[in-house]
Amino acid sequence: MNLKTKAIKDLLPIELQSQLIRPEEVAPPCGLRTGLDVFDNFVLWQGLPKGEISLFEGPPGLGATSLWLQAVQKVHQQKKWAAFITDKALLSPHNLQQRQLDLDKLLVVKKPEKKEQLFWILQEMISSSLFETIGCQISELSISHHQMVKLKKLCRTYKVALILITEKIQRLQQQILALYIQFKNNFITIHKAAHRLTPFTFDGSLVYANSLPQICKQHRA
Amino acid sequence: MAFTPKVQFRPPQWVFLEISETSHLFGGEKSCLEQVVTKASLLSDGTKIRAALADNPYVAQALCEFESMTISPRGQDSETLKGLSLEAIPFLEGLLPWGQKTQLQNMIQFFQRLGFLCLEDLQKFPSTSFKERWGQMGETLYRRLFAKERQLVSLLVSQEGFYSYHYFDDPAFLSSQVLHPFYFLMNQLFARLEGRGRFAQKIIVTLYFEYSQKFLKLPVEPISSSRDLHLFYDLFKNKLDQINLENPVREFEIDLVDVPEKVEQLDFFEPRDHAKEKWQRLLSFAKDHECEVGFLETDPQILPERSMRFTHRIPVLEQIQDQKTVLSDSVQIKTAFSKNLEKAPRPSLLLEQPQPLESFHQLKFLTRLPTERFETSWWQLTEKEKVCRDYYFALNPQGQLLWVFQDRMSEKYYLHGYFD
Repeated sequence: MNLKTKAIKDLLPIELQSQLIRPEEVAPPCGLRTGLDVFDNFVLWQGLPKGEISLFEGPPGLGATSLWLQAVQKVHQQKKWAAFITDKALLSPHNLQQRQLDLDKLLVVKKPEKKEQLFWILQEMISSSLFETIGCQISELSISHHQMVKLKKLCRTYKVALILITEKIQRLQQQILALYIQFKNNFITIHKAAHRLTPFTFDGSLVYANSLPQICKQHRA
Repeated sequence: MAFTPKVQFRPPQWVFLEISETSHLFGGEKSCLEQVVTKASLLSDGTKIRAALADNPYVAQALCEFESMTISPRGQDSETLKGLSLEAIPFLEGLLPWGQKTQLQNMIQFFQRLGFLCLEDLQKFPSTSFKERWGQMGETLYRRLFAKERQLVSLLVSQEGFYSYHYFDDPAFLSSQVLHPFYFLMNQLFARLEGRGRFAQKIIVTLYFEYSQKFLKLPVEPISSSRDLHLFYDLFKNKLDQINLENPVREFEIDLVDVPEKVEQLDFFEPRDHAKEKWQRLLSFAKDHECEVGFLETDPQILPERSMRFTHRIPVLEQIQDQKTVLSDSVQIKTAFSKNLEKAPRPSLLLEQPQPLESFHQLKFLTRLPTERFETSWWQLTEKEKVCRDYYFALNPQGQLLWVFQDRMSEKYYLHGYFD
């Protein structure tokens, strides 16, 4: 390196002092780690994105709730709160205790009968700034586009990770979603994740392998 | 009662506070007087607040009427009264009002005809003069002129209920027109609650309409009692927004149900946790909108669908164990679900009611024998109440991992949960 270049290089930090960012300050946007390395290491947020809306599409029994609960486990370890809105099936407290989740830091909401109340309850829960993450498992997503935009703004403001778990997708604009994962058969496919090449597929048994050793070892009756 | 526990109210507009023992807590007598006026002004409906301080309530009342914000020096009430005109005599009442107003007016006119202008002129006469001419009333007047009558402001707490009322001169057809006086009245009620150290459990707002004899009661009850005015206001606003005011509101009443205050003993170094207030607000709104919100709790029951319950309070977690009852020589054990199966797999999603499975032949059962069997106490129940189930793990063609059981009584298969 010649003297002139070296002088410029030494002068730049002094001149641009306030505008320069230190290397340790450069960090990806924060996310909730799930503990599933193949997933966490792939996505930009190193977990479920905070301040964004994510969609898990697939019928129950394929690991969608387990993936969310793994993130909730980490949230509870930090003594923070989570909430879950459910349509038909309730979370089993025995399963939650097996996962070492804190039942008194997990608020459960039974989905209201009126459609407009779902949007209202999501609004209230996000803006209460009590929860790190809210899981919403409903068989049919009945939230309109402008309501989704509103929810996204609230999530950004209050840094809440909103995870929608549904069997059927209606006409939902993917621009609103930061993360879109599909659970089908034994595979989990990430169809959309910011700044990442998608689709990305990995084995579904990685999510609930600890539930059934037979599945993990691929044993059958 | 924010300034002293010794308060007495004499309608329509006189409030007497005994602050001799508490004025030092508010920065002295003058500062205390100013704070009282400021607080009263906030709660008034625009009426000018007048106040005065003296050794005796009747002297303070007279000063209040003629020389507001005056502080009579200690022991010099009679000196302070000297400068007041004869018009101040009707206001020398305090806690005991004058009985015969007509006789009092006659007394004043008599003094005026004699050329007396102020109370100092009356103080020159002995007590016998007053007593001979006006009897008991004259004697009372004499004692009050010389501040000899003792009137004690009692420590008794007011027993009157928390009630408020508002009448619209022009009936209100917009919710904002109702909410404005509502907020003002609630502010007053909550100030009284604070003074008495009480919490509001619920309020019942009764709306009376203009064009009919109908009335509508709107109860507002948060999840727990508090003095959170904004919470009550927001809950009432939500309810009012759902009502059509085509038949406008002519008047409304507010009935407040109060309960003793909950006092939290906080450590000096412990930061105050506001999360609890946020929780109460969220749970109150959810309850108001008929949304079931709560926490999951385990219950020591044998059947999975009965082994969990929904609770509105933060659960107290107990170790899952059998219930043992020892009766003389016998021991009764009520087995708890999943007591010894903490390491056994449990579905993450449990259906509240098991769903019958028609196409169980398509399922791939992961074990030939059932993994668990649940059976109710056959010696106690009738045929209908007996339950005997064999549980299996199963995979369907779509790859969903299911928790399935076979009812041994009917031999039918049911879906009970998902390993999701």
